[in-house]
Amino acid sequence: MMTRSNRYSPLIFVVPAAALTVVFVYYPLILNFVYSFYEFSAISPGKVYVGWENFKELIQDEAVRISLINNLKYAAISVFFQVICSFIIAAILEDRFFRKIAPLLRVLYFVPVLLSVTIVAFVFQFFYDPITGLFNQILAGIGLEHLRQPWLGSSDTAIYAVIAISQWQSMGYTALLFIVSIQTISKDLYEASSLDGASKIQQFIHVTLPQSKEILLVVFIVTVAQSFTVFGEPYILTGGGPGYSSSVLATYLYESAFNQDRMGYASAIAVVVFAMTMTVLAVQLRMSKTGRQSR
Amino acid sequence: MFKRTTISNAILVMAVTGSSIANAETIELDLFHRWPNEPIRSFIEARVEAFERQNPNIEVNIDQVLNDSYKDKLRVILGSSNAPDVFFSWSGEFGDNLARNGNVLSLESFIDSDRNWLEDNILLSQVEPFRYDGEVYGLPWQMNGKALFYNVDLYEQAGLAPPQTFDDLLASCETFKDMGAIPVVFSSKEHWAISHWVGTFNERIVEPSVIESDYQRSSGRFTDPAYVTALEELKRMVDSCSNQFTNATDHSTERSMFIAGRAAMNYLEYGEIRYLEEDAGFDWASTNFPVFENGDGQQRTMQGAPEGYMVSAKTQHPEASYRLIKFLVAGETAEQLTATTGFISSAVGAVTDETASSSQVAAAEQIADADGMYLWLDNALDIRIVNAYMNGVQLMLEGSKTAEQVMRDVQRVAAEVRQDATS
Repeated sequence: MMTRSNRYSPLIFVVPAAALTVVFVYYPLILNFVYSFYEFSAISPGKVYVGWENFKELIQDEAVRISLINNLKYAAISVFFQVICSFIIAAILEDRFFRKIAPLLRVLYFVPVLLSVTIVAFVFQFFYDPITGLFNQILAGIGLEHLRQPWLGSSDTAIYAVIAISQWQSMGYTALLFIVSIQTISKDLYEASSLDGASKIQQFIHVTLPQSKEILLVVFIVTVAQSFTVFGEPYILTGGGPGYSSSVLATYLYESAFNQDRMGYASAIAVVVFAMTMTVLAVQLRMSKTGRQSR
Repeated sequence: MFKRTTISNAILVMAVTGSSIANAETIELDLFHRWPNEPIRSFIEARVEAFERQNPNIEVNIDQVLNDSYKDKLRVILGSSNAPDVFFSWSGEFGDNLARNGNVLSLESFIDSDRNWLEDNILLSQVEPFRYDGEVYGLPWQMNGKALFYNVDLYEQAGLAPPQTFDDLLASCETFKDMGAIPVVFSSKEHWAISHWVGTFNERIVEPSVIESDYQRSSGRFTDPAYVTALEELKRMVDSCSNQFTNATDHSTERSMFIAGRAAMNYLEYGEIRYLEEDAGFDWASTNFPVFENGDGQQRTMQGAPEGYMVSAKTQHPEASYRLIKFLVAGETAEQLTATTGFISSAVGAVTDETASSSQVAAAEQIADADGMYLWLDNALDIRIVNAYMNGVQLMLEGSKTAEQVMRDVQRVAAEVRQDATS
């Protein structure tokens, strides 16, 4: 029989964590919703209630439209590289043919993950420099001087140059997740399919892919969610420019809050970002079957 | 038992009393500025130590953040309960905004009883930009200006005289290009750098009365066609006289290209003279930006503004804060400022042959010779207008927007700002 003190003792462990979460996650979240209906600055003495005005302005704001499109580009390109390409790379690295050099390749792919976004962004700023940068120097060196670009300084290329860095840095991480997942697939399945005469590609399509559905879905969701909250790379590399050509919602949110000093409007943008990531999460919860396999 | 309790209580009382006496005697001030880089950081630290020696009851804690994020951080901490007592500020709209929102202490009451000191020590023309709604909210510690610096050696090789007019400048471009030099090195990656160019072109081309009205939050319209002309002239200069890839070039790279001798002209602040003195391997000189012969604006004014210190409205120690500001803007600090940091001090008689280099003395004279100063555009306008303006100019320079489109965006945002200012 459980004594009263025993019955409540789990609370000792749960309450501190729950309290911290409430104070540092849910309370600011609720405040953000409230603030999105006000207009105020960090230094203004009071707040003015404006109802839905911030959201109405947001719908008409060209910078929000561009930022949202850039987030969608981020998501689409990231899914292609960090989910599709990474999964293919993981499958190749797990193949017997690559078994000897796979550990080395895994390390090589994973090293960029260990670097801070700030450092990576600064290094790539040098690579992208239009005059002395590595990329333009290589183009000039192989006779393609006419293809030299101000990679971060042109509205045509800036967002893609920023997105490329994220792919370079994150592919190793997602590939590692896939490798771990692929390693759990029973070898019997491969042996059986091999006896049936399946080629490597057929094994990939009919064994590896179906057996990795769970991890693929999780990585897909995480990648898309990260694409809607990305901030460091575009902020450091371009600040969202030229114009708003490489702006994403998070950088525009930051600009609205701390540069334009429009805290209410920035809160409204944050609500949009929150709604998007929550939608992605809802899709995950609906589609995910995580844990059912083990029952 | 009684005895032990009594003794321990006595010790406790003594400790509490002692600490409260110490607290009453020692005033702690927080100073926030924008120079974590050398030599300015060490200079300020040394001067603050000197201040603490003069005022043994005052301790000053210094914090600093680099220029680019200083404005963002300052706005946030001024709105918090941890506002610094004394902080660096630009004059113009940036400082006005802080004063308008009640974040800055008016210095009028101090100045009223200190009028003689002010007149004897600070150039009063440099105090005026810190005035908002009739009251002074800050004191200047440097006066900065922007001038066209040119490579004298290249000009001599080309057989040209420094440009007196904007047409002279444009006409010289082909000659310098033929010599393999960039006529006017230019960067437009950072908003503030572009704003200095746009501000100058506006000043020279747009009628002063139009500018006076448009640069106010409550009356800004930017509908005068001269603004479009100013942008078109800027683009003409960049297209025919400047380096490639300007949107990917930042100001420090731009300055480095000039210092490396690769460009004939560079539009720089006087505060940057120290970089030229340290590294430029050629003769150089500076002049006020050339006149626009067909411009309706002011032709002999100079872009620039004093920068200085303000006191937070939340300070618990206004008198000590004012004392610290006085120490930072005048006296020995002002005498050492120019030689050590390269900033042109705004204190009376602080920039002389004894305290500054010949270039710095010349810079101070050029500021004095100008018909007046006009504020940096990014400090003169509301930040929302600045963003719309400068984002548009970046796109105009790469050819994806026209000058008319840029000004339409500016007009739209100006209307929003006008509404906010008048509501």
